[in-house]
Parts: sequence; structure tokens; C-alpha cells
Amino acid sequence: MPDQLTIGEFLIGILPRLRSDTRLPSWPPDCFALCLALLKQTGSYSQLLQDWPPGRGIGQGLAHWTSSVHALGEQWRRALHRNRPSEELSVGGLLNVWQILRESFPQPLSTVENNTPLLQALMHLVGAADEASAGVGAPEDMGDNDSFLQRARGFLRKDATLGLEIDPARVKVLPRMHTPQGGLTERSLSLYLSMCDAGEAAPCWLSTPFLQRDSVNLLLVPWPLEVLAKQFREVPDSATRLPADFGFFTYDLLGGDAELIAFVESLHREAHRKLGRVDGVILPELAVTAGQFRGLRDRLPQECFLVAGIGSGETGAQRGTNEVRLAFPLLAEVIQKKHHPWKLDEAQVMQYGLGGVLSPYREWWEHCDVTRRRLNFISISEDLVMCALICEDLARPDPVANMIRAVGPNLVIALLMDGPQTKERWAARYATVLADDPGCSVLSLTSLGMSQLSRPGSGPSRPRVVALWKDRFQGTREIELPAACDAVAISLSIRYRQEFTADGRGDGGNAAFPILSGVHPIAAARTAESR
Amino acid sequence: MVRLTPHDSSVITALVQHTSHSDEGKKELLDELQSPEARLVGEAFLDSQKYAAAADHIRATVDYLQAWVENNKRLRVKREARGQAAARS
Repeated sequence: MPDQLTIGEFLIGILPRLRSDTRLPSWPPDCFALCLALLKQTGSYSQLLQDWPPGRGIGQGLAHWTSSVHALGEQWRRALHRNRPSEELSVGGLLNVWQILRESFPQPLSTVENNTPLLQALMHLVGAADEASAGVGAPEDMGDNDSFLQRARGFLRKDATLGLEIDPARVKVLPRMHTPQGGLTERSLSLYLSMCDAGEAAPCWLSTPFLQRDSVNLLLVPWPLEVLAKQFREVPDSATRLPADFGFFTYDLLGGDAELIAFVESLHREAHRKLGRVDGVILPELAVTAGQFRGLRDRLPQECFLVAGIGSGETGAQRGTNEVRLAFPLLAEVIQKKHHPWKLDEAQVMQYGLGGVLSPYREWWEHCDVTRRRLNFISISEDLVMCALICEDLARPDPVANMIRAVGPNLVIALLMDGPQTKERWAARYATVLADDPGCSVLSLTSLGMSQLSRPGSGPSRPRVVALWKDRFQGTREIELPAACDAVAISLSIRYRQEFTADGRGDGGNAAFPILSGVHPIAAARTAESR
Repeated sequence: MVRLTPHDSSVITALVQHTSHSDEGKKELLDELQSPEARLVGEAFLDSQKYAAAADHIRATVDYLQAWVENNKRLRVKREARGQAAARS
């Protein structure tokens, strides 16, 4: 029988210095990741929480647990601020808790589940490290100078992880904005920190100042208003590069830069007239070229952010591009490529009426560049950490869905090239998953052109349902473009609720949920000729 | 206003968030800024004389950052009130 992996060997894999130096990791995110990884690997947190809290029935109970862990976290934070963690943590008893873990190093990993003192020690360390890291995610005003936050944000900026000593090739530690309130996973155990396996997709954490008001007004432009079947085409030599029943396709964007920019400007003016302020403009997947994006940004007010799907067809020399670009008032373009190519099958070729340009008897892969996969989390205010996804990336669990579930960004924007965004279709299902766990609010947006191209196999089509909203509190909301309107302006308000960890700690009612609080149809000004 | 790279945007955010940085800390952050314009913004934010002498787009950027900092203070008060309400309930 092979030797069993010991607890120490497992932990050394995450924090290599434990091989020779078994002192407590005094940087909270390191300690958090180390202990949570052990709880996750063994699944033993479920065993621990079967009989919770510690001391139950002998006069201590949950209030004692939560207050003591919270106090320990605060003490840890103060010690870091004074740069004396090793000295001060011994006072709080944290070193005694660590000692329980240290003494277990020679034990096989399989013994963790039945070792109650060890499990309690692990939960104690996870909870205290989490509490010590409060406020690490969003750019909050914490009042007094806080050297922990300064250092932590420096690590996020440089390395996209909060870890200091732990091996970033194994585990990354990121901030957390939402804690799932249903089910029981390792994600249920923390409020402020999340642990992600260091996988193939690299997280990026960006902060940029954005004036958060009591509501956020977004202009959704379902551009293009028309998509032509001929914009889809077979990549010339794809037949020689794939088995007989497969091919590559690409999608060519149309020109008309001046018309597009004038159109969006007109929509912005009208939205501004109706709402008094437009904070952001969003366009769907493959809506504009890079040049059009820059042109739009130059013409929109500087305080308005812009998120749009950018594309270009393949050129023979290189694959096409399909990416989202995000531009904020003080931030140059952030670029994130799509992670998964679209595969058009027979049913979809029929659905979108593409049989004249792509054979329905072959399956067609989107010929786009999907290298260098990244996921950008953009922290724009203390209540809003957002990320953007492109089409398939919303549906596929790999490589980024677990990262999104771990971090729980407040707002996920999914840019689609898809049919109508009705409640029955796939985007609504995946939005619901993210709204339930971890609690993200999700906006999906497709183009009117693509939506009109879509013809269901049976029943009426509703092509003017171009967007969909889902949050934790409300049912799925279809956003429909009324006749003679070209865009929709939506208002988001922030609802605050208390979230709890599975060990009973609360966040003080500061979990922020954008909710849909207004929908306004917007029509562009028509020229006399177009009227 | 100035358009910052993702890196410089995060550094500027950190610089304006923590106004009680030590002089050494401020210098470290300024040194982290990669573009000359970002550095001008950082310096003008920290030094009123440099602000007064700065170009319009630099001053506009600093004004925006100041407004953001003030807005964060307002949000902080609300956040603390929510925390106190949650503790009472």
C-alpha cells in the first residue's frame, strides 16, 4: 500500500517554506488559503459543521464564536498595521490554534475528517484571517491609514493574488464580494477572501475610480440593428484542416463608422434627456470594430464608461478576433478575449438562416483567437466589482466560471451574439445559476440584428427582447425594445443585505446587489429622410 | 481627462485612497506610475502648487479623483451605519 499523503506534505505543496519553517503565516490571505485548501481537499468542513458551533450546549454558542473570531481578526489587522504580528498574535491565542495544526503535520490527510480539534482550529484560522481582511476587495474608504489594505492592494495590482508566501502556481487568493447563501461548499466559509485554483485562465484585478451615485444608468445599444447572413462565411482552407464534417467560419463586421457614432450619440442624448445622466454605454458581442470603439469613446462624455464586443474577421494570415473592451473615465481600454469559440451545428445554422452560406451538414467552429485567457475583475466603487463575459463564456464552467463563483462580482455583463433573450433560453438559465450562487446580478445583451435573424423551430419569435436581467431578489426580467425604439436605458439601484458564512459570521449588512429599478425605451433622432 | 493604463489606474487609485501615506510610501507609488501623464496627475493630486500649475486635463483628472474620494467618504458613513444597524438587530 503506497504511503498516504500527510497533512504536512499537502500544506508544503501550497506553502513551500513550511518544509523548514513551520511558523504561522502571519499574512492573513496566506493563512486563509492554506487552511481552506485543507478543508476543501478533505471535504471535512461538512463534518465540522454537522455539530456547530463549538461549545454548543455549555453556554457559549454561536454568538461567542462569531464575536471571538471577529475580535481575533481585528486584533490581527491591528498587529499588521503596527508591523508586529508575531508578537501580538500570541496574545490572541492564534498561535495556540496554529500549534494544533502544526502538531498534525505527520498525520495522514485521511485523518482530518475525524479530528475535531484540528477541524475547529482550521475553521478558527480561516475565520480570523477572513475577518482580518475585511474591505480588501472594493476601493473602500477605510478612514485611518490602513497599511494592510495598502499592501494587499499592491499585491493585487502586481500579481493578481493577495497571497504573499503561498505558491501562486497552486492557489490564488482574491477578494470576495458575495458569499453564497445556499448550499454548502468551501465558498460558504468566508466573507472577504476567496480561494481559486491557479488554472489556465489568469485573473486580473483592476481598480479605477468611478463616481458611484445612488443609482447607475446604463444605455444598452443592441447594435447592429441588422445582421446579414452573408456576414458569416467559411474560412477558405478550413476543409483541409478539419475532419470532413467540420469547418471554420468567420464573421465580418460592416463599416459605417460615422453612422454608428452618430446613432449612439443620438441615443445617448435622448437617454440623458430622459434620465439626466448616463453612466455607461454597453454594446453586444461583435458589435463594433476597434476603430469604431475608439471613435465612440472619443465622442461620449468622459465620465461615461463604455463596454462593447469588438471583432474582426479572419484575414487568411490570422484568426479573427472576438473580445470585449472596457473603458472607464480614467482608464484606457481593458481587453479580454473570448474564452471559447462558438460552434454552429445544424440546428443553429437553420435557426439563424445561414444555410446559404454555411452547409447545415457540417459543424462550424468560430475561427477566432482564444489564446491568453484572462478574466478582468474591475473594482469601480465600493459596491461595484464587475466583470464581462462573451457568449459561451457565460455557459461553460471552464475556465472561468469557478473563479466568478469564488469572487462573486456584484455585476456580470454578458455580451452575446444570440437570439432573443427570453426567459426560456440558455442565457437566462446560466444567469440564474450565478444569481443564486454566489449572488451576482447578471445582464445579458444581444444585438437586434442577430435576434431578428433567429427563427425558432416552432412558435412565434420575440426578436425585440434584446436583453435580460437577473438578480438574487427578482425573477428574470426580459428587456424588450418597443417598436420604433432603438435602445433601452436601464437604471440600477444598490440593495444591501446581510450575508452570512456557514460558520455564522455576518458582514454587517454590506453585501451590495445591483437591482433593476427602471427601464426606458430610447429612440434615436430620425432624419427627415429616414422618417 | 487623462486615460490611464490598467496598471497606472490601480496605482493612482491606491495613491488617492490612502492620503495618510508616508512620504516614502507616496514616493514609492509615484515611482510605480509608468506614464508621464499619470505621474503628473499623481503629483498634482498630492501638491496644490503643482495642481495650480498643471494643464487643464490634468486638473480635470485630479478634480475627478477628489470628487471620488469625497464620494467614498459619504459611502463610508452609510456603510458604517448599516453595520451598526445590523449589529443592533
